[in-house]
Amino acid sequence: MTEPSPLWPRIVSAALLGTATRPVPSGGADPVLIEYLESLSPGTPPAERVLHVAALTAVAANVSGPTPVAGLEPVPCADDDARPLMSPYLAGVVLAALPYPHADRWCLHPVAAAGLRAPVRLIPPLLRHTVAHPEAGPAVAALTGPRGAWLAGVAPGIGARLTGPDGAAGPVPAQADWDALRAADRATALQDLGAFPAGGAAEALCERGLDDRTATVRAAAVHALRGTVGTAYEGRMRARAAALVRRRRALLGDKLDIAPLGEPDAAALRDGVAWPPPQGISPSAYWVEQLSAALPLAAWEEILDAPPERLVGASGEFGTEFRTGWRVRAAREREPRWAAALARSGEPADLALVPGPWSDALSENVIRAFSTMLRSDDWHPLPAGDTALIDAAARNLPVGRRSPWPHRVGVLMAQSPGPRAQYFAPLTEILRLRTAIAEELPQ
Amino acid sequence: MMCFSGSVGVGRWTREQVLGLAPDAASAKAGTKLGVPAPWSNSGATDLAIWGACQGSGSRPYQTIVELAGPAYKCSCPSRKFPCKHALGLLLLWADGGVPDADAPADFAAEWLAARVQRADRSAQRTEQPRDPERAARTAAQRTDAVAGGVAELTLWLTDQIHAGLAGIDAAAYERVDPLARRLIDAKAPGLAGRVRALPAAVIGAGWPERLVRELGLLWLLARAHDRMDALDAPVAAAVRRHVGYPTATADVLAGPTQADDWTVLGSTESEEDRITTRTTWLRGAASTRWAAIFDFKAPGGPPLPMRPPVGATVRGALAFYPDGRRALPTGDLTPTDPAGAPAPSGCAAARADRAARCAIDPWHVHHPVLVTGRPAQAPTPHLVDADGAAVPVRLSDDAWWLLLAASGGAEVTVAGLMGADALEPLSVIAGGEVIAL
Repeated sequence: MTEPSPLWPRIVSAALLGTATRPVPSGGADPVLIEYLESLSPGTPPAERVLHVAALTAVAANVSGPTPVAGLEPVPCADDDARPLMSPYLAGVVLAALPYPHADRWCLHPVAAAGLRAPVRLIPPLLRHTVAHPEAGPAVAALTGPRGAWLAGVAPGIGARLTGPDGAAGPVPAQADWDALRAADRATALQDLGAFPAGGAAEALCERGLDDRTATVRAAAVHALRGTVGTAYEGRMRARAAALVRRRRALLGDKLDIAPLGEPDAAALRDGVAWPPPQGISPSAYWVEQLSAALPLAAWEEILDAPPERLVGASGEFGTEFRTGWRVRAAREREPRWAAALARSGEPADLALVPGPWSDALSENVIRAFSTMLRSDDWHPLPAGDTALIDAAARNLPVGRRSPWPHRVGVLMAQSPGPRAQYFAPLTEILRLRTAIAEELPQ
Repeated sequence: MMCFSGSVGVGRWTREQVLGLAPDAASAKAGTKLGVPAPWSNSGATDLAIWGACQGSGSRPYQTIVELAGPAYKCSCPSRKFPCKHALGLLLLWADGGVPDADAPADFAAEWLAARVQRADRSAQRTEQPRDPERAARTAAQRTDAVAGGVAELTLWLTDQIHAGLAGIDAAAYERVDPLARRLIDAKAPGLAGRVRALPAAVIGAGWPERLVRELGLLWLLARAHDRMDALDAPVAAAVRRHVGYPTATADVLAGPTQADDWTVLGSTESEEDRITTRTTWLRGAASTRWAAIFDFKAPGGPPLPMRPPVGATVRGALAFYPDGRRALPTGDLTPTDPAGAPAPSGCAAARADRAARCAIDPWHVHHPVLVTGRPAQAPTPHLVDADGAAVPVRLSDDAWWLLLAASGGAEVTVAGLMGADALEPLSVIAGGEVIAL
């Protein structure tokens, strides 16, 4: 005698096709339900019989709850972290700081330097922060400690990057691993190299990256090479600079001359020189701006044999382009002599290069510049230099219980509801957060 | 120390709590800009209210008052948002400690606060007036008749669907269920109407016939149970009344028995249906080990959801329970108190047994609050493995899972969550004496 097939699938079929045309099956019921089904009177209409079975099946499935699973292995345990825990208030401040620009510099690094560890509720958002902000990796690694490293390992989906481009040298992928990587991962690997020594495996990998078929990988390789002194890349760019730029004494100081220029050769294009120039920009200006940003500032002092203040103040057809490139380098290298020289050039944006905390005199100048900006009724977007200054003020204006600058900015904002006030909203919030951090950290 | 009548307070609010009151993201952003000292003058705070004058673009500053108990707001600005950016800014400033304490409210605040006290007294007097029992009985009988008519229509509709067949319902689910749902609303059976309106969701995705037939079976069970409600045990009858949608008067709940305890907030969930936002705050009594759920509702354009203590806070006071024994109302002041001790470890089997016991008196019950102690495992999907080696599947977002992992560090933790038919949905994790919302 064969056992009847399970009742439930046949009941569902009957409900789908309709009991008007499909007989209601019997037999094969779950043993738990048999007693209840037998209590139905024989004259129960077919549709009601189907609904009875459906009700009993639904209740039985619901009441049994989730099916327990045996034999699953829990994840391994993390190492202990004996460092002092940051206060819940400070943890809230750190969390609130993450969406703002350069939070690693004005928030994560100072808190990490105080030797505090992050509470567990802060660890996942900090690790997630490094996905879009790899430069925050070292500070996040310090704040989250062994628990953060453990979580990054057991939950790779977070995508944590705990070494950053400006941090300690990150791992260099082996040749075979590199070949197997997807383009996005190759770019990430180059970005994660950190500060590497010239002449090693990391430089060789970057040189390979210059020949990569994907533009983002080539760009990552150029960026990594530009951050290291003494590389072959620097040597090639130095040769190009030496052939192109001359400094000479003129009547009113130094002057920078540019040799006649043709199109960049294949080697220059391999080294990341962008070409052709956008419409409206001369080829020479485009070349100079890229070249000036490609070399370390110390290399320019050597090539042109002059200190920063003379080079920044030099005349010449392409002075603006030189300063634009050097501004990029000064921001990356955080080089105080060049920052000071550029800041004296008169561009508000160059004040942004001066490392913090700013002096009272500089802060006063910046507040005056802000006052002028806020008084404007211009609805056009704020120039990039002005926004850079606002960003820098958020990082570098002195804060603390006795500092007048957060209050001065607040008053300025309250008195200036013009179209440009929107650009200053992050500034007031960052100053508030920095003040809270300064008061919360052990002195 | 701050405590609220009919609500719960937790001392000075946090910035997150304040921003949670914002009617929209734009208000939160605008309020954040005003949460600095510069635009404020004549500000002050007592245990009951905060106030201040905010200098805007006009010549006269806006006068802003917040009564903390409601909370309730008053501002002389023309904004129709509620609370306005000035109230939010003032609250943020206060949360940061930027509003000085005062002995008494400023003149402009005192007048409005006094008027609110008078209105509250009049309202309390009205509430205390006894209801007319004859009229209440007449209304209840009318409702029972109306619901019975609706249940009869539902029964007929269900048998018609099975008789004619469900094939094709996935292509026109709303057309088939909406007329019945409207009729059930007219019949004063909103619970049934809600279940009927949710049927189209069951036909989405693979395996829908099985899901739909089960849902129809549960509706059938509810309709049949309603027909013979007089023969049911009291707890089962109460469950049927609740799922059908019979109302329970707040006054009746407050007049019933209460449970005093130290209540720890172990979860807070929000959902939206028909543009009504429902927030559920889950609490567990330290001594009674009883769970309670406080429901708050917000309609579009209506007042914001009231302030509730955050997950992890412990408050002392009495709760009155609805007939289901789970939904509750504070009967008076709930005051913040010391954190309750960590709950005793509880395995998967105990949690499943507790849920099954509840389902025995309420077969439609799905999400059951439980504590499960275990270690996280993630092969192949998130699970919690208890001390006996039994694992329960855990359903939660990636962010919440990472937080649970971080809180555990791989070690044993207690998870507070809602156990459904096929998984545990965590609300919070208790690790190192701290309750962390997931």
